[in-house]
Amino acid sequence: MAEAVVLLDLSISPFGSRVRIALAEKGIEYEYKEEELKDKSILNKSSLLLQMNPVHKKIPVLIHNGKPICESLIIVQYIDEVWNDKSPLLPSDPYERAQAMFWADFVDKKIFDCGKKIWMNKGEEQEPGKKELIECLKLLEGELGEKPYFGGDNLGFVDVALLPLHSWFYAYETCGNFSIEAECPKLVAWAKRCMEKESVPNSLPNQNLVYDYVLQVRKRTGVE
Amino acid sequence: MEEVKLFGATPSPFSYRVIWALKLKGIPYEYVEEDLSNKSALLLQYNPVHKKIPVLVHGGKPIAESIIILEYIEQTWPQNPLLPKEAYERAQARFWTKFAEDKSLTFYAFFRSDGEEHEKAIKDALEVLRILEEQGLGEKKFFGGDTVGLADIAWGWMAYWLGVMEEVVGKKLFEAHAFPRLHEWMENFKKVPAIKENLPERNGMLAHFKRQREILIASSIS
Repeated sequence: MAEAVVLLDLSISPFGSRVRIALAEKGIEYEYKEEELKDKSILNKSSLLLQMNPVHKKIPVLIHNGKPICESLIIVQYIDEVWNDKSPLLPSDPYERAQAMFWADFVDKKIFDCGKKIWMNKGEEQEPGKKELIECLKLLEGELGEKPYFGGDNLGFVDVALLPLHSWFYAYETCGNFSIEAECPKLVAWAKRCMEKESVPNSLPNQNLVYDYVLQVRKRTGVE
Repeated sequence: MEEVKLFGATPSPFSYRVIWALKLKGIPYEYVEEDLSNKSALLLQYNPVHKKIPVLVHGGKPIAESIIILEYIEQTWPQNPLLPKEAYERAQARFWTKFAEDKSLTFYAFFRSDGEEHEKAIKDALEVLRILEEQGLGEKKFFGGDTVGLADIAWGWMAYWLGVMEEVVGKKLFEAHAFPRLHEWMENFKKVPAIKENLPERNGMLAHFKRQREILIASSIS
């Protein structure tokens, strides 16, 4: 039975990328619809997006048999529950699952915003964002420990939540004039390991396009 | 059954979310009241990342963040389910639950600010209420349908805490005639025995929030 799966997305979005990785891990065929970015930085919201996500008007939106699901981690959890025959992303043990949800939530609460504090500012104003980002990434390194992936032997929920943000590191580092790898080598090694997975490379944002986006926003908001 | 402990702080609505879930499912637990101005060593040990309440400790293992605790409770004790069985409906319930998390800052801004920032917060909060009334709740009795679900628990603070906040701020945000469905939902929610029997004492809450607002306003001026 063919199930219609459509993804409304933006290639540079780390949130959309999470869904792309999950779909690829599960081997799900889908139609990809890229929303338009004006001036490399302003989302030109399609009528389909506005219809499917009237509350937030944001991507990603997964449309499964005509019904929309919004919010990247909720979409990933939905994908995991519906296509539960292969590549489980969340552990079945309730405590392990709660830990995975905790760290994915931590990524959501902290990483993107810390990064933004770096690229939306310049000079000395960037220092608090840089400090906090490194602290948060070090906590994540602690959680990873000696495991190859946060999910253990395979990609899990936290890997999917965090990995796309790695594509934004280049923008953070270039704008902030610092090296994340110098401070968090284990995390960068983890990201390289993930990129060897078949489902990953084509699902990640292009770091140069991300940097272009960031530069445009900096210009538009007067930071540059 | 392994021991269940809840570290909370009255009158935090986040604490009460967990209390309601435990009570709705009939799970016995030990409650530990934390003094947030003097957090216990045990709390800091159980939640080193955020250092916040609530924390649920089950068989010695801690779970932090109220919504994550609710999901854990739901998975561990499936009786009186808080989430629907069908995947799409679960995603919807989780969407409206996350909406509560995302918008808590808007209502907090209403509570802690004055002047221009306060006016903006009112506008934003009214928009949230409009979305909830028309798209979130719709024709349903509860967000969870006929019975209380995850999203009801996430929004539950509004049924009781909002009135106290409005009294302290001296401004009415929620008018029953403007949001008739939400108003009815609030009344129904407060009638549910597990909720009704587990609400903080109002006068204590009023005094607490009055003190909080004074501190917040003073710190924003300086």
